[in-house]
Amino acid sequence: MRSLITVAVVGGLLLILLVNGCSNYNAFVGMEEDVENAWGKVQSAYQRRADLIPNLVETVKGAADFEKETLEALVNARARATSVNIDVSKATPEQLKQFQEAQSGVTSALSRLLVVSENYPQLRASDNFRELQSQLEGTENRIKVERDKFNDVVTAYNKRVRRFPASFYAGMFGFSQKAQFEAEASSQEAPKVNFK
Amino acid sequence: MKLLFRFIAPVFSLLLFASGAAAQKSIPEPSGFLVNDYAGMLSRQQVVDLGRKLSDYADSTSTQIVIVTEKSLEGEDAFDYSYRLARNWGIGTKENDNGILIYVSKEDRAIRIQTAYGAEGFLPDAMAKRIIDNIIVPNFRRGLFYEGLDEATSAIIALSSGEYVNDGKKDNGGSGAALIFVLLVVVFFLVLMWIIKRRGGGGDGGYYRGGRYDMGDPRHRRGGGGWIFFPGPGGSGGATDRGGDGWGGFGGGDFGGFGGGDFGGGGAGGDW
Repeated sequence: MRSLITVAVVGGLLLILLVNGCSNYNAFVGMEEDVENAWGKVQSAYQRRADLIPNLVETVKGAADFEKETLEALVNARARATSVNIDVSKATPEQLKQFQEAQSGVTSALSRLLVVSENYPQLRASDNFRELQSQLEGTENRIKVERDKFNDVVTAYNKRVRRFPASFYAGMFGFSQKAQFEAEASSQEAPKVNFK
Repeated sequence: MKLLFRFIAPVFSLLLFASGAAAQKSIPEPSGFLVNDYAGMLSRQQVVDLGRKLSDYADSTSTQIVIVTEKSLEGEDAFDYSYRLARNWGIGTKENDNGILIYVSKEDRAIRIQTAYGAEGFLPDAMAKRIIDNIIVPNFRRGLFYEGLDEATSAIIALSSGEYVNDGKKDNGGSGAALIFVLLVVVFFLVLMWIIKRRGGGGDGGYYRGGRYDMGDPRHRRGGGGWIFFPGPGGSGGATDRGGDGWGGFGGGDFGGFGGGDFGGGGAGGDW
């Protein structure tokens, strides 16, 4: 009789563990997909910017005898940024930081170019350049938006990984915390170039 | 309940947007209207006309073009604030993400167009910038606020033609009985309003609000959070007016409510 109760209790506990485990596992898988999805959007926003740069460089070169170093710095920063690719599901905070640094190199090279372009009035007046400027502005805004959304999704995921009942299953199935973008000192002011 | 919501909503939005450290201007609750002239830049008739134009457009294409004017950004960045507003209101439909917000801050003299994901295709940033620079700014500089907004929305409508079609009316298109029922309800309300009007109680059927950002009267509230607006005998536009205190009010309410469109930061900005 006693052994029967023991079997029932153990069986019941195992059942709870199984059902709970399944639902937690599925929740983690779903959230991981959300993270990947948000990351995809972050990447495409950065890619969009990278795609605009050759066009911008051509326009600037064509319209004026532009400062060489500024252009080269931009081209190099872009090349460096596009070479840094990370797998977000396994990325460590250091890797993400590296990615972020490479991208902010592009950001500052771009804003340098736009500042320097102030000295070339006929370039600034050209339709092509103005069009590119508004596209760049929109792209910087998109990057900001998608990064914030990515951070939100990762925060939700990390919370679940760390909070108690779920954290038990997270450890069991090997879901670990994911890296987030950090607010960089420069991002507070830098990408907001005033386009007029 | 309302009190609780009022208390929770700011806390919640703070949590959601904790990334920006600076103090944030609070967003008005979704009004359920396409033209929201909080800054009082338009006359009553202009609000009605714009509202009718935009709600007709939203009815036929499901693309929602929303105009919000406010007095001041209270120091916040025009992009950040209008982005939060557009997303918070959920302009556009959830399936198409085809919402567009034209935001104007009167004191900052700032204009911002926000495009939801689905609107970026027909209204790319460069085009939005052109609409601001070539249409809105020149008109606004001469004080022609209505002309600027009217021409800008016409330009957007021309750009987006053929992009989306509103097929959201399947649910009552199928059965004639439902349609007749809806018609009966509409007739009933029209008669009711006519009676009220004759008694001198209800004005022209416009929807009057108690005060700024007031949620108004729950009678108008529908299940999904949208607002039902019954047009007065004059037409389908509708607007509110607060007399002479420089507050243009709302127009264009009968489009079915905001659908939860998501925004990705597209659009452009400018100032006049």
